[in-house]
Amino acid sequence: MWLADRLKEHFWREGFEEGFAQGYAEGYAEGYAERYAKGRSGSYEEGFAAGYAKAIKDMKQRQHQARPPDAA
Amino acid sequence: MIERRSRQFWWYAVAFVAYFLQLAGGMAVSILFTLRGPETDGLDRAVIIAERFSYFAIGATALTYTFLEGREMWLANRLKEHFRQEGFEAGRDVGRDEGRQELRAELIEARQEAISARREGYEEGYAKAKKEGMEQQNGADDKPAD
Repeated sequence: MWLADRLKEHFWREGFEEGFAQGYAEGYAEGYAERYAKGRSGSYEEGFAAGYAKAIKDMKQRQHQARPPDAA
Repeated sequence: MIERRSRQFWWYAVAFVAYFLQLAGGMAVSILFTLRGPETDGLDRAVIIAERFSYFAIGATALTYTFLEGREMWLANRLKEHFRQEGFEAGRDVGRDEGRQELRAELIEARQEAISARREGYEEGYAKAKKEGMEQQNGADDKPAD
């Protein structure tokens, strides 16, 4: 069923985008936290929080840059 | 828009039943008239009845497809959380790898920048020291020997 498949795909894609954003921030933050703790700059949790915030900020910045000028 | 389309499912179902009854009724009436009509030739009657059946089959197929499509959409809408969750999990795995790779790429870039900055500093320092050394050497050569 063509329309129904499009609908399922639409919901799946919505979930995928949300999951991707969260996974990206988590993956980035995990790597960041490992280095943070290894370099004795602070605890793993502190590093994770800093990395998570940085990943979210970078993503927002990238989305903002990707937006066409008239849409801003 | 898609959700609204899915909410219309029950209207599709009602319309489907109504059209189906209309088609079936129309076919029955037309066959009845054909059987009681002036055509006496059996072949004529068979052709007309077959024609009525084919109209019915075409209409019924289109309606059945519409009904099934609507039903699938209704189900997909009911299961939207399930599809979203499936997509979310797939996206999370892909995103996590992507995030780690991004961080690794940033670190490699930062390390390369640090290495090149160090090399530049080294070269600058080396050139400066060499120049100063040469100047000192020249100064020493110019001094008259005691």
